[in-house]
Amino acid sequence: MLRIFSASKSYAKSTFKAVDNLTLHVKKGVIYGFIGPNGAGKTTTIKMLTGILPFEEGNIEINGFDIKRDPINAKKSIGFVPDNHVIYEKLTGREYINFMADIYRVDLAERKRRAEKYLEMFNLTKDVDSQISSYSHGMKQKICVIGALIHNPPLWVLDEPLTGLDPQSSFELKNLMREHTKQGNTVFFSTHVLEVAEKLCDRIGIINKGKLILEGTMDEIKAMGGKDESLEQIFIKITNQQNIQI
Amino acid sequence: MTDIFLLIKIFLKNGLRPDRTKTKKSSLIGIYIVLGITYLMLMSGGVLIIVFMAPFVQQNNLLTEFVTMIYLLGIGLIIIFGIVSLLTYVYFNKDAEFTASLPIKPGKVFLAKLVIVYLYELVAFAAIVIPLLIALGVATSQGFVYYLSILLGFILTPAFPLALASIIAIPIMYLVSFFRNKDAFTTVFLLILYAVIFGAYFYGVMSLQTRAEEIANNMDAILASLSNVAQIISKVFYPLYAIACLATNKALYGLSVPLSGLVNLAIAVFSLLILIIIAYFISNAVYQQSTIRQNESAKALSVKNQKTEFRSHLKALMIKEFKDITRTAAFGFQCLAGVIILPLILVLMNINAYALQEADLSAGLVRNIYYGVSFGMLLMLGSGMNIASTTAISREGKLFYLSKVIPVDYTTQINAKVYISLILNYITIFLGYLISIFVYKLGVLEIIFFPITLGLYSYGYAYSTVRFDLKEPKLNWTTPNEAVKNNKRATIPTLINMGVSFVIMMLMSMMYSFLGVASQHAYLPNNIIVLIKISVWLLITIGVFAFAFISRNRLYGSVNALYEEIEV
Repeated sequence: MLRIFSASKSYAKSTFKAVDNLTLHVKKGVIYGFIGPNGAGKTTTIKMLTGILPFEEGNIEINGFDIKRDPINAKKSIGFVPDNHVIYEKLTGREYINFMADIYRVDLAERKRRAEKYLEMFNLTKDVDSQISSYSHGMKQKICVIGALIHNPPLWVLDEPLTGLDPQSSFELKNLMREHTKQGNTVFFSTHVLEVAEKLCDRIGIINKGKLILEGTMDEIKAMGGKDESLEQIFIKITNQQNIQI
Repeated sequence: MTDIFLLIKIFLKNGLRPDRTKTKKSSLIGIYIVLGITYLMLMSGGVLIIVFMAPFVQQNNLLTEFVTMIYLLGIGLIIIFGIVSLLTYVYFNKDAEFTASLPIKPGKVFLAKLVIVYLYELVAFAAIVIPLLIALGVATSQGFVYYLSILLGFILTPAFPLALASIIAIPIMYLVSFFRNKDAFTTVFLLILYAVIFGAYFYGVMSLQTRAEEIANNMDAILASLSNVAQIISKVFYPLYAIACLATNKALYGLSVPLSGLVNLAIAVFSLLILIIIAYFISNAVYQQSTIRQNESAKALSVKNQKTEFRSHLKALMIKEFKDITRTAAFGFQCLAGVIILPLILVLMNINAYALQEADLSAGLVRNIYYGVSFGMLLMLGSGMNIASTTAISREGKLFYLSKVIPVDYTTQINAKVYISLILNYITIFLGYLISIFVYKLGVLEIIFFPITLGLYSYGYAYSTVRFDLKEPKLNWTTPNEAVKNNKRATIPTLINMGVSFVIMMLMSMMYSFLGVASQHAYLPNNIIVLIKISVWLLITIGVFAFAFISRNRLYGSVNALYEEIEV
């Protein structure tokens, strides 16, 4: 579903590579957790694979479509939830969902069915006709999630999705991720909440200073990092080691 | 095409819809009434001038050139303000990341944004140009074709400056991409650009104008000169001239009127198409590059030259205000443009004043009128062009919550905003004042009273407009341009200032011309004339002092309560 081949990205006027020779394969039906310290390259990777940022080296395939050569078809396969919510805040929640459904060409019956399901799940039904500007941080996050899922994307990409969500919504979102992968789709998300990554993800990638330093299932990571240690302990040990080496 | 329409629909909804969570219906109605009255006041002045000039235009067979000039006026305004709109809406929009993640070609996003800017400019163009053209049509008894052509001109003409603005934006965006602080560079570039545009205009008028000595005591020479200038300008802007020829049934190229009309129509449409095609293809490429650079810019922060010494709250906040203004192109330009434009306008006006004065139409009369005009212009542009005070709170946007979080009292916070605004106003006024002294040869009384009255007025304006914004700031905006142009808290004070300045300008000009005539024909002794002038200036001083005093006290009396009332 998602294949990243030796992708590298440097920001303008910087010799430092924000993402350095990253190779990653994420199969269908997998929840993939992408973790790393601040400034490790998580958001840059997500922006590269969603087509927001160009990159110099390597290539990225989404659902078989190269993001550089065929960006429109690649983007059609993605539902993206950024870390900075909806920016068209004068729209109502319903208008935003309809806009996203129009852009991704979702027919009326299907969009209605999906919107109702998610609105009810996130307890947003009564607020859907209010302007987004009146929403709380969590409500904005939820409307963004619904907008991203309205076309049932094969690859659902989320950047720090659990920030600002109440426990109930956080629980619903995690269930939704599982449900999405059960339908044969893939979820790729970045997070700082290591407990969530440990419990929720089928596979985990740890990135530091632009390089993928550890990747695998939770069991594989434990085998590599220390069998009796939690993901948090392994993460701190590995990133500290790498920082000392560099 | 579907994607483009979808985007246009969403952009329009997001841009035009009032924030339902904040705006009260009653306050909206009041604001529309104030806006309507101010607009009518300003337009009636323009219409009066048109009606006054119509017989002269008709007698001298200059109708086509005059129509061209009116279109040119609209175009000039769109170019001046259109580039800022274009840059902030198209290139520096915060939605760049969101639109880049959608499965839509960047070219379509660019086109949709261009259409939005065009629609906004269309409204501005219609509001300014159409009433003037209708007034001219009525005053010169034009037929059906004339009014029909207005519709054509309305659709076509705003696209010319927009296409030109797109082309001008290309080098700006190209150069900007090399700089870390893109907005600050754009601000500087725009200011330089305006200095160049006005400078070129100034030079053009100078070189076109028949030398003053040659036209002295010769009204025919003045008319011939004006006619010559109008014709040359019309030919330079030929596509506009073509629309004007169509409107006024002017036959060209030895063709019949209908055939000539068709040729003119073809010229207008064809030249417009060429401009749009050039602008679209080049700008589209620039748009894609600038979007990439913008999406990257968050990472390109520099920590060089960071000073770490201790600063007072006020100083720290003033530095923050200044950086906020200069590092956002839309704010920077709107705050600093006056520093360049006001002195240039004053110099430009002086050329006409000088020419007419030398023509000795009525010895000393023109000079006297221009005392009033220059005072009015200083009043209007010295404070009104700078939006630092009118957007003092709105500028904060969603970061306003910081004002409530930081351990600094609200009075200090508001002082930082007022002082920055005053510093910018006073620089503008001081430059304009210096120019007025030398080019208009101000008298002793004017040299004394100009700075006192202008300084006090500017003081009052800054305090009252900051308070006006503080009462209901527009904090929910996506592009900085929305905080300026689509913000009633910024536009209403600007329009009121224009209206008030215009009225004062007229009254002062009338007073000065009356006293000029009285002095020339010895209707009144000179002592009495001086006494009248002193009395008027003292009255104005008392008026603006009261305005400044009341504005200051009202703001300080309510600053805490108003800050507390703002919900974030």
